[in-house]
Amino acid sequence: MHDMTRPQLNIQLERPNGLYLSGEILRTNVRIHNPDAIVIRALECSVLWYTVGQGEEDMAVHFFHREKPIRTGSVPWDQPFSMECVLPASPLTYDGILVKLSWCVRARLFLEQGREVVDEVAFRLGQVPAATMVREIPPSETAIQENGHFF
Amino acid sequence: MPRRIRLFEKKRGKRRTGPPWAGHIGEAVFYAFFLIVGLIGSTYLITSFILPELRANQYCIESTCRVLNKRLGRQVQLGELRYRPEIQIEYKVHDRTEAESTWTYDAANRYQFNQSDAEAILDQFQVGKSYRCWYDPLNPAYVVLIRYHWLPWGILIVAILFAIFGGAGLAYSWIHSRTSPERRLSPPAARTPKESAHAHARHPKPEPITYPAVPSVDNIINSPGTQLAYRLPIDAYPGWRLFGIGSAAALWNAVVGLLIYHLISRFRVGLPSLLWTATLVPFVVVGIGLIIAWIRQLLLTTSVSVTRVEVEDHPFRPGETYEISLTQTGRMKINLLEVLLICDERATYHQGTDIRRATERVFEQIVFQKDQFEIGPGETHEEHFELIVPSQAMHSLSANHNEVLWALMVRGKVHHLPDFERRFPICVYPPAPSTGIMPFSQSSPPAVSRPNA
Repeated sequence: MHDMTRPQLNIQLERPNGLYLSGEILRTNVRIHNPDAIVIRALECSVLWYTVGQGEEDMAVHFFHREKPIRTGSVPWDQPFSMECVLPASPLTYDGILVKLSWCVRARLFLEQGREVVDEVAFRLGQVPAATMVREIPPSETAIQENGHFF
Repeated sequence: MPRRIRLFEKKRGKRRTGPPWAGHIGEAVFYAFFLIVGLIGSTYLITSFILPELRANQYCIESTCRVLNKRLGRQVQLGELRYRPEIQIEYKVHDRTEAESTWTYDAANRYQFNQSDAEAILDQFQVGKSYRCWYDPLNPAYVVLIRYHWLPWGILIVAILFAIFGGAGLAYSWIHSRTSPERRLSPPAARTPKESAHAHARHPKPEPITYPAVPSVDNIINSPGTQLAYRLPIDAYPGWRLFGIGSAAALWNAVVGLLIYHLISRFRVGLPSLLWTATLVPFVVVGIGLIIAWIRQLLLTTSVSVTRVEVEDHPFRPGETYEISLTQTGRMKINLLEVLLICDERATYHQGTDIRRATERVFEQIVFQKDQFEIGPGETHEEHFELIVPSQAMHSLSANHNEVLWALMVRGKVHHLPDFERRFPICVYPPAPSTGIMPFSQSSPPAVSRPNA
């Protein structure tokens, strides 16, 4: 159920499963629902990665596009924006113990009076499986692990 | 029921849970305070002190005066009594026959906070003696005995720095509040051009593949090997560890030694202190522990000697097999020597005002192991073996606060010596793009198709 008092964003990836390999083209559509509810100043679409976990957040933008009307009505906000970009070789999506790296397509709609509407859809780059903990590393490590552990 | 406005929230590093607008307002008020204070201070100092002093320096002519009298001037400023030295002088204006007479001291009529400071200045001038003075030829009644004060200039610099800090911060805060984090972080290469972007994306130009957020291998491949292509650098040289532990042990035990000396002195004069003695015991134990650690490290460094690891190729790729060469020198009987391929995650975060690091091992595999052998004097023990990087391994990651670190670790158990461990960082790259489409590069920007207006 959409809130009719303000526009809503809807991001759709070309691949519903959201699985991509590096070098592949990511195609996506960004649709604005109810664009006439309030004056839209600009739309920003980006493809980016960010980290989640114990460490502070790192973030980098791979693709960025800003759509800003030159004059009122010069951009038909009711039509979907399609964008595409070639995905980079790294960093790959990773679900580690301390470090988790996620990719997403993020759209940000700038409205009147400084208000914003943000939406994002995550996708997976690469096929790295989730990590498993081997053990915590003590300050002085002397014990010897006999068996190897895989991801 | 949640509060509607949450101004003060917990903050960890750059993460905030409060509303962004409250943060922007707070930031703006903070910088505006510095800007206003800086501007008001600069204006006051320039008009009250700097300009009069400039006038005295630029336009006044030097002459000689005789001190007729002196007194302590008083004035209430901002509810406080202030003081200034006032000297009555008689001076000659060059085109006049009669001498002028007036009360004066400095160009800015500056009052002192302390009476003693003003009196000290008065003491420098003796009635009846001659001194240099400067008068304005256009207005000879304006005369000063002192042209410079360093203090207003010093305060002016501080005021200007306040204004610059406040102004720059306000501008930063303004730009920060007007742009999204994605826009601020997007490099020019990631931004779409104003037009014809679509064609570039459909026909990307072949460019060298780049690996964002993957560490550079330059520091690893800059040393050629003797057996294989590259000799891996060691993470921390044992000599530096020895120096570090030795310094810590020396510093700690020097302090403990002083305390022991003080305690012995008390015993000698017949003032034994049980509390002092009991307090000192744990300090002595730590000091002995540090000395033992240093001796262990000394034995390791001198006995185990050099460990060299060489690789046939670098960086490593998942699923690939690599030949490794291990060289160990030093006369010793080794109970167990093994090489492990390890992967650690490292996260850096703020906790209060401290910067902390957490490390977690997510992969560990023994790739070589040998037990019960001896290295004779002057001999070098060499081993060659292969390692396979796991096909689904995460690549090395290097971000500001999050890292994935791969390394080869050499561990040894030596007869009559403590175990040793040496770490050789390596870099695992992600698999090369296999789709045949060249990855995005600076000259092939991605695209957005705009709907027709």
